[in-house]
Amino acid sequence: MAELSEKAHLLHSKMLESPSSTLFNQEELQQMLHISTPVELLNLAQELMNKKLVKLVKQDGDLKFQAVSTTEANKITQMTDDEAMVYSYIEASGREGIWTKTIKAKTNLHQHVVVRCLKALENQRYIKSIKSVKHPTRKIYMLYNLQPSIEVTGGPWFTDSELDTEFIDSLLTVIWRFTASKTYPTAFQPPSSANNPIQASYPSNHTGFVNLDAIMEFIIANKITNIDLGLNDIRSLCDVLVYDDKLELISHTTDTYKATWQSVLEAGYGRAYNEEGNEGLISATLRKNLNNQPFTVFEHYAVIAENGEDSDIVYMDAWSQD
Amino acid sequence: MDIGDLPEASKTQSPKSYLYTSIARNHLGDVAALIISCLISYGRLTATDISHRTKIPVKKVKSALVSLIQMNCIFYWRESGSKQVFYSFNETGILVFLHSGDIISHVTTHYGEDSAEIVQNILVNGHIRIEDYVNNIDDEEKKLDIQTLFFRLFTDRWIVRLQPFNFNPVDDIWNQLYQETLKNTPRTSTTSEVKRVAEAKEKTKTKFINLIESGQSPKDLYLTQDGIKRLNPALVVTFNLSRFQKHLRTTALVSLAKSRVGLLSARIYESALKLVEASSPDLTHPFLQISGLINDPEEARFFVNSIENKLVDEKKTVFNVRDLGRLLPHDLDLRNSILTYNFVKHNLTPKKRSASNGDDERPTKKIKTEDSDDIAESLESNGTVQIESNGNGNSISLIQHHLKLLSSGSGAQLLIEITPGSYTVPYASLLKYLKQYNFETLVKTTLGPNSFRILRCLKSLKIGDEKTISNSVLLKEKTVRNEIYKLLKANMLEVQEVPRSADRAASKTFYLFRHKEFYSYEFLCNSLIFSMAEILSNIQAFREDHKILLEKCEREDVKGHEEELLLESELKTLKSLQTRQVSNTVRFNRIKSLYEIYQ
Repeated sequence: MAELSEKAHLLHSKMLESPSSTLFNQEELQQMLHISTPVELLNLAQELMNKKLVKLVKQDGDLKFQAVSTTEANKITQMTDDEAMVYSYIEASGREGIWTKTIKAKTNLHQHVVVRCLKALENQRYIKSIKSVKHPTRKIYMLYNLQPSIEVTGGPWFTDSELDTEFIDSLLTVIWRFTASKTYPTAFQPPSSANNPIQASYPSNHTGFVNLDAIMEFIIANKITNIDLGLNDIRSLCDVLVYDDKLELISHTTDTYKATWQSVLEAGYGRAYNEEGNEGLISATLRKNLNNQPFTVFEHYAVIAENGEDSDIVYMDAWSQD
Repeated sequence: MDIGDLPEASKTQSPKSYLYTSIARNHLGDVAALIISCLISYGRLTATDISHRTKIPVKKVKSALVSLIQMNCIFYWRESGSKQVFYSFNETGILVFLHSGDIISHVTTHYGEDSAEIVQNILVNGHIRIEDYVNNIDDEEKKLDIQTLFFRLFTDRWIVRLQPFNFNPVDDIWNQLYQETLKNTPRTSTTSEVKRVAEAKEKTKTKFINLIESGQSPKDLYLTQDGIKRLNPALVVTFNLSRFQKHLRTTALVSLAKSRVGLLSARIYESALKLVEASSPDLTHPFLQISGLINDPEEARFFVNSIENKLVDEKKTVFNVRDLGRLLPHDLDLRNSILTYNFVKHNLTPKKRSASNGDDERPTKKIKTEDSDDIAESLESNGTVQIESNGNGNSISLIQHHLKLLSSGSGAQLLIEITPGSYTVPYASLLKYLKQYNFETLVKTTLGPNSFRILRCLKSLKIGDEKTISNSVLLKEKTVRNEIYKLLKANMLEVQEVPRSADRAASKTFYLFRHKEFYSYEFLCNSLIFSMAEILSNIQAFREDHKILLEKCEREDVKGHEEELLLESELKTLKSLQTRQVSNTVRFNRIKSLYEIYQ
């Protein structure tokens, strides 16, 4: 930087004092150095431009100046012109990244040249290639030190741009189990004499059901995941559980949920009175009465698959298929 | 049409025709099945037409028609001013056959063997005159007993009076009354034609109701002799299918309660439903069956609700906690079913509220004393008395808690508390939930939990494309696409094409999906009916395969001596045939229990 004139150096350091990516117009720069004539400023600006210490940015039809840090400028001066051009577009794309085809179209360079530049930049760790959830097949580049935006990564549900269903499923199970334990006092406990073996419920005016905050707190307190989840993420998980008919939104409330009894039954709980070893819980006649109930599709979990003849099986869609 | 072609012909016609013809064939024989199938396909015909189309001699057709009419399987109608009699199909008789086994077993468990015998005889004969039935019994004491049983079945509406108009199609009765009224409604220059028609319709409605309700007054039905009220022995009675349908509705609702609230609440609910079952609204109303009378679904809903509201106003479907307490099954043990800790808290909260309302000193003190009291006392101080006499702790207060649970569901509200302590059942809205939950559970069990999730998501979105759906259900787009294909194939979703270019290029078009209940349920119902018919013809088919063996068993000399006269291999086949028939019948009944919901 030895060749840089004192005044140009002063201007550059004054520009860097403002937060990065601040845009200055001509008058502002003139005021900074108390320069009266634009010609003088022009010389200084040209000097800085040559050293790549200042970028020209067009905003609303006006030309504006932006300071570039010395290290950054060093980086760029070491690059070839092509590389610098490619780099500038990647830099401009910010956290969204830019598709190789767009680079090619914007720079008007040949495919080979673009690929060569990208390789060189990648080797120097100036840029990196990322995967986008929206366009999984596209090769997208962004600056090495940036984090891809949520649109690109797809949010907490994506791992390596793939929907992480296992992660989602385990979170769903945790939330359901937590809510169910708050909805049905004894669902997950072994039967005891203190509560009715067939059904033990909270009264209808019970208010201890969980809301989003409680679920969030539970997840954080038990360190269930190291991924940052927002309330919105929890809400979308709860929505899925509602679609699964595992949770219900309590009427006249916002974001307060209770687990459905059907989901508890389907998960294999709440039927301890009917299990082996628990015969003493209820009387034999009652058990007989309870087990002698008409068929209902809601108790599909209790139906034993029979192995009759294949020709005897009927299919629900037989009418439309036959 | 030939009897050999019957199964195939009815199968291709419609699932209903397939099922009804199969049932008719099993219970009434080939000729009846042919006539019924013919009437289902042609609507209404004269006896000669039937004979012409079925190639059965007129004489045979006529004698078959007589018994079919008696069994409520066929309506007849004589057009005024013409000698021709038209015959058309009546579903009731066949539906009674469909449910006959269940009907008899239900009557046996609730009314005993003798009542079941009466019902069975009514089912076999279609209808009977009480006099004729009673006179066949020699024992005088038994005669009185039977009359009492008739009386009981009649008051519980399992059997109803049969009148001549029950043999006529409702559409024709309506039409006749309507044309008559229209003729008698004068045209004037001041009223428009629309107004005149509407007026005539209203008048006809009243006339129609009067006709249906005619002959139902106590004077016509009962005789009072020596201060004892008994049924008029001259009455002709038939089985009331709609009463049985109400029982089926109760069963379905109890299952719903069992899955949504819990087993104990469901059993209380069952008792409650049984309490009002006899006076609950019918599943159908003649007005809804008359074609062209109530077309608008909104109007139909309004009509159904108005019937229900009328019953509530008349306190027919309203019950009280105390009435219910007496009717609960004896093995029901409610102790500790509502959590004690909250129990105490619950009894305190209303008072705390009143404390903040104004009175400062006294109520607060009361709470303090109650905190140290035990539950029973706090209950008593609250004005509810615990019934200790039955010894199993089923206090009114506990029952009340369960009823509250039933009436506070976030999805389906199984009960409505109209005034403190008295409840009613919102049948019309519950039927909607019943269909919905059963449908969704069927999707879950047949197409899998992912389809279930997507379907329910789409219901809450109303309409959506693959991307929106996959974002909200948190499933991979590929999975979503596969599941949507399955749902579409089962007619549970509708697809809407949204073209984005003038040439409707497939590459640019995107698709929206939605779920429409009416069409899905209709399709499901047809599929279920078809499956039921398939099972029936399957049973028929494998029995046919072993016809010789089965006939051998029926022979007089073989009966009772099967062990000695049949080969071991034959006995084995016989046994496997029997298990196969039982398992198929079970399958049939399970599908039937689903079909009843969508009927």
